[in-house]
Amino acid sequence: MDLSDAEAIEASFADPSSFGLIFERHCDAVHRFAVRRVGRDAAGDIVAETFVRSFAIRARFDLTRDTALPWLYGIAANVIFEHYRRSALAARYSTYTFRRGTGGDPIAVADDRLVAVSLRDELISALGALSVEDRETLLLYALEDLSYKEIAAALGIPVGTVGSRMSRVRTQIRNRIPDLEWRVDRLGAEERGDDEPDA
Amino acid sequence: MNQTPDPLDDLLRWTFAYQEGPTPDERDRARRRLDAAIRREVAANQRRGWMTAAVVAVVVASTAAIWGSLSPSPVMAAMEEVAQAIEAAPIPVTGQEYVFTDATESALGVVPRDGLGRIDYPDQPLAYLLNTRRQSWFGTDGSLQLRTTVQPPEFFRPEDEAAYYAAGLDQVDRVGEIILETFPDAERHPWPTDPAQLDTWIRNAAVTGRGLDSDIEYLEVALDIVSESPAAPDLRSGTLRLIGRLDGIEVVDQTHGTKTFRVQYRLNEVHIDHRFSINSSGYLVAERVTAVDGDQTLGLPAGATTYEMTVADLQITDSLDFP
Repeated sequence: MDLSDAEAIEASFADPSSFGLIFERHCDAVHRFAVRRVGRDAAGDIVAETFVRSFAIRARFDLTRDTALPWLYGIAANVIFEHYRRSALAARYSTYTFRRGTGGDPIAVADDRLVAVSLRDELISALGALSVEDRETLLLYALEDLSYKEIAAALGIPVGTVGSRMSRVRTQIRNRIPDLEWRVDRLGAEERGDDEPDA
Repeated sequence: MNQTPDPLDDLLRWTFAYQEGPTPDERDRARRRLDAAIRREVAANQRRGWMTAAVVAVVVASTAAIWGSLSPSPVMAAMEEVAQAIEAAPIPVTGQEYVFTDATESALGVVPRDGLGRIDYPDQPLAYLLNTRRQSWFGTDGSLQLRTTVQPPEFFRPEDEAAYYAAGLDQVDRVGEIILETFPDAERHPWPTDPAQLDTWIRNAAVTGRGLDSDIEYLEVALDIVSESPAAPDLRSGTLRLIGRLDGIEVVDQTHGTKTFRVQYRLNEVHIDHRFSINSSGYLVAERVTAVDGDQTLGLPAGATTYEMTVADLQITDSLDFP
């Protein structure tokens, strides 16, 4: 029978190689997490550092949790932030990460078929205007499919704070893209081959 | 709590619809970095295992003599002297200051043969010494800034050096790199200072499931508390007094304000000598483990040092720059 994440981590205290199971199980997900934030070129180092660091601090993992993935996301988020600080890009991180044309820009992995260029650029601009904490909260929910409870565990904040951040972030983005609902609906209609919906 | 579907979430998923995993090369590089970290911990555990046997052996040999004595043991007296010196002249650290330490470390790395890939090397593990310089800034809020300089390793035989570089282990170990890391909550434990509570906490922390003698694990945990750390003066003095109560440790040198202690034993036919030094401020400032007669299975010659660490006197600084 396969060990659960918690069982593998617990076993790694006596046999450190047991932590390899955590890597094999979650490497792909952590890699996608990193690519979406720092681009393909830098993602490899982020993934490696995330697993080395999580191994070093595995005693802090809450063994009552079913999966280690939210915990790994939290560590990866810290590694990414430090990556930018190490690169003397800290001042730019809050506004540049998702902009077009920067090195290792994750926009390269956006799907042009589905998202009109103008709306995509507006969304990226709106994300860039958010604080690091607010943006990470939103992306953990929308892209990594974490629950509010899991986001709270990953970021080390109360669940209530996740809820208030999500509400604030959505409002901020809608203020910058006021017709977001209609345009998303329109994109969905194009994908389905429907006629243009009413404005 | 509101977790209803939102068109914005759909837009984000469409925009960042990236679903590919890492390439085999990317995955392999990441896995090798993790495996290197695992190997380092295994080597450290092995070192602790040597210490375990060492202390057990000395305990067995000396228990009767120590129990037969009503006066404090030399180790107990030495630790008490340092503890009193700490309490007489504590080093104050205020809220906006950092404890800066500067350490050099040489640690035995052991790579199993199957971790070397298809290179020309005998069917045996590769052993080498990985050298690092570790500079640490400990904040009173539990934060830590760590600057690690990975220096070229040392080898016991020329063929080991050739194999190390042929297998690309220098990249795995990040030789030549300076790694700056920050940890907002690095403080390991809120250790109590009451002697009985501290004794209980150390014993609890010493249960790691590695099957080692609890007294030896106890010594390892206690040494960790007084190593590079922001441990307060009362915590350090209390910890040293508890170390002084352990049997099987002997004093080998008390000159120049720093006291050096030793445990010796044989394990798997390898004669090990482990020494550690405590300065007058109660900090662990040096450690050395030696394979007195060498270790043929790892190609270690007689007198090979398998672990060595020295720490310069700590400094108090008000910034995260070099003092």
